[in-house]
Amino acid sequence: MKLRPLLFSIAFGVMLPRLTRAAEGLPGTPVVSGGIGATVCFSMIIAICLTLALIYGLVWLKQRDAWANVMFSLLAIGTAGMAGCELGMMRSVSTEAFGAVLRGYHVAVWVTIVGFVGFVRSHLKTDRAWLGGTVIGIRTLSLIPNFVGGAVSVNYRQITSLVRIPLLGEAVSVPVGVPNPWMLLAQFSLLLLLAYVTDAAVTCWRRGDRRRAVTVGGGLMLFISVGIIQSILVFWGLVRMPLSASVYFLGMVLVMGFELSRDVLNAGALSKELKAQRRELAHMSRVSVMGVLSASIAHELNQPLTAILSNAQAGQRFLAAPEPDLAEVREILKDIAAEDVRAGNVIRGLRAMMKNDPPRRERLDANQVIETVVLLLHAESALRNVVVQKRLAADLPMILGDLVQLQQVVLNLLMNALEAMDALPPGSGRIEVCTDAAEAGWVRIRVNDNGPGIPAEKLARIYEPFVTTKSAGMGMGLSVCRSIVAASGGRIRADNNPGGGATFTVTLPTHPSAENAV
Amino acid sequence: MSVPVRSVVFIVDDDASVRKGLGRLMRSAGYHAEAFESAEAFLVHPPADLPACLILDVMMPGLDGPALQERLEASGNLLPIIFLSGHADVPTSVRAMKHGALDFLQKPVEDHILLQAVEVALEGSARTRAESGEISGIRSRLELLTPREREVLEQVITGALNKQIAATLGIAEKTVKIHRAKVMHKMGAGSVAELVRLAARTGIEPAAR
Repeated sequence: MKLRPLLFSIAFGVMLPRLTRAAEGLPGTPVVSGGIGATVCFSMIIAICLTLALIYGLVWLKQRDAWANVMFSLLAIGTAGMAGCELGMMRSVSTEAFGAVLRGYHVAVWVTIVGFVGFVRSHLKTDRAWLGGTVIGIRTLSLIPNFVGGAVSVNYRQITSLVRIPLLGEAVSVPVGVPNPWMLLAQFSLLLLLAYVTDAAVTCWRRGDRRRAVTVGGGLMLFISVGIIQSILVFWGLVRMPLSASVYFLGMVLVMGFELSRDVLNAGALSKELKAQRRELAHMSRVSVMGVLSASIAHELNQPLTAILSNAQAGQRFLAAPEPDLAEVREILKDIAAEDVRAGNVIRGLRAMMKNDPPRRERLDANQVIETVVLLLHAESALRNVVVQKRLAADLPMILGDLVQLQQVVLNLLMNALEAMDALPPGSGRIEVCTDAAEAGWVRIRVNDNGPGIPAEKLARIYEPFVTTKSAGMGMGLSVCRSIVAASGGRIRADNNPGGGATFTVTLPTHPSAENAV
Repeated sequence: MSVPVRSVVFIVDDDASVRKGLGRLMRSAGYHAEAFESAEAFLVHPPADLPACLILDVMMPGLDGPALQERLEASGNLLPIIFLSGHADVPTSVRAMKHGALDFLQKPVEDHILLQAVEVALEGSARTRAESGEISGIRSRLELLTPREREVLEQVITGALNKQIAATLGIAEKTVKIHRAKVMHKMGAGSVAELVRLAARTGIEPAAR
């Protein structure tokens, strides 16, 4: 797949000189032909280059740091310009017109080389930037004899005549003239460019990115070498054929465009990976919160177990009596069953939080989510001597989200509030968690505490990873909360209360089926 | 057919199910149990005038187990305490034991372990009550002594002879003899050895010589 544009370009580049060389037998003989093969071919090159330039230019507008894209656009525009000039020269009928186009041609070449150097720099990440700078510098210098000094261009001191030769079934103009020695400067810049690409490819190879070194570095080296050979043969009058450097540059444009498109495709894979990592992070964060809560969860489990054991052993003793009180024993068995269910619920909640299932979009009752989490935190809040009050709206619409993730959001917010209470005198901490449906289509969950609040300078940054107001916090909780809430299509905001403490507000969209119910 | 209550087991735990279970276990073993949902509720309850012990949860909202222990200790209440804890916390248990807790048991607790601890606690409580009854008897007898007789008592228990006591206090030996007889009589002591034991029980130190 990736080889196809490469092979096409090489084939085209090799074929072209052969076709023209076939016409060499008739130097100076005007060839009359009604074909327009060359015009069509070069117009296509222009169209392809401009299209690619436009696409990657737009990508750059979206991602201003993607410098390889803008450099690629520059290269493609330059190549389109070269193709345009080459076509113009081929179709010139006077030496003056030919000379004027040739001078302009070097501007297009300059643009192409600047884009080329920039692309290689940002894409292959060579560390010899000075070499690229030198290439551009020398190329810029070569523009001086191109425009100043009375020569036709940097290539010719003088063009004596135009010869018509056939190319792709069309008669095209080829110049006959006196070479300009300054041309060495321009060609030297091309050799340096080859050295620059070679160096970049080698660096890339050594760094271990061999695929990129071979496809980009190797491809560019090949096309640039062919371009250099042709320009030497043509301008020094060794071979009579029209200039067709844009064909080789098109090859480079295609190689680079293919390479850049890989990046665009990779971005899709990266975003997938990022999503998976975010899920993993949420899971890790959940597991670590469970770790923090382990002592209080153990207590939460121990209570029903204690009740079960003492009930069961009391039952055995009652039954061992000469006249067992069977009514009492029946009560005992009922209580044991109830306590077993209670312990099972703790385990179930714990297991759900530890699971790492892909998130689902399901119908949820926000009140139920809060009840579960408050129960899970019962021992923790008792231990910290903090009162957690619930004010849950009756007939709250159902919401859409993942149960475990939403529990995690509420758990993180409540844990933060509980930990904020450490700053208060024991027994004075109050946390209130409320739900309401103030806005149609949305359910609001608020967690509000009377702790010290959030320092103003941190209020805007608390959702960033590793930003924390706690002395021993990782700073992951709120970051995870925000990504979960955002993935559910909701919002989260934090405010300091006028009377002290902080309020976190999570707003979540209702389940579509809830619209009718409300 | 209510059996007269001879002892009482107090239970303080914030968890209703645990209170209920422990209460049943105590009743199944023939004890009378009274359960409270918080330390605060227990403190406002009038103390029992019976041998008693306390099964106390460590972790509770509000006043927790160790805090209740401190309150009781500060108010001179010698109720034996059996702690029940959800998780092994060495510093808490060491602290509780240093403050005189009778035992520190893990939840869930086996009936024979808990019941044995309760038995020991109630025996201890009965003994303490008997001892404190004896001591308050000695104290009330001590109250009967005049200041001079008290001085003589403190001298006698050092093992001093009447002559030496007379010299120390600057009174006649004959007077010492009279005081000594009165002290022995009022304290109900048949010998100097018994007088020394009684004095030691109430913490009276022999006078410095």
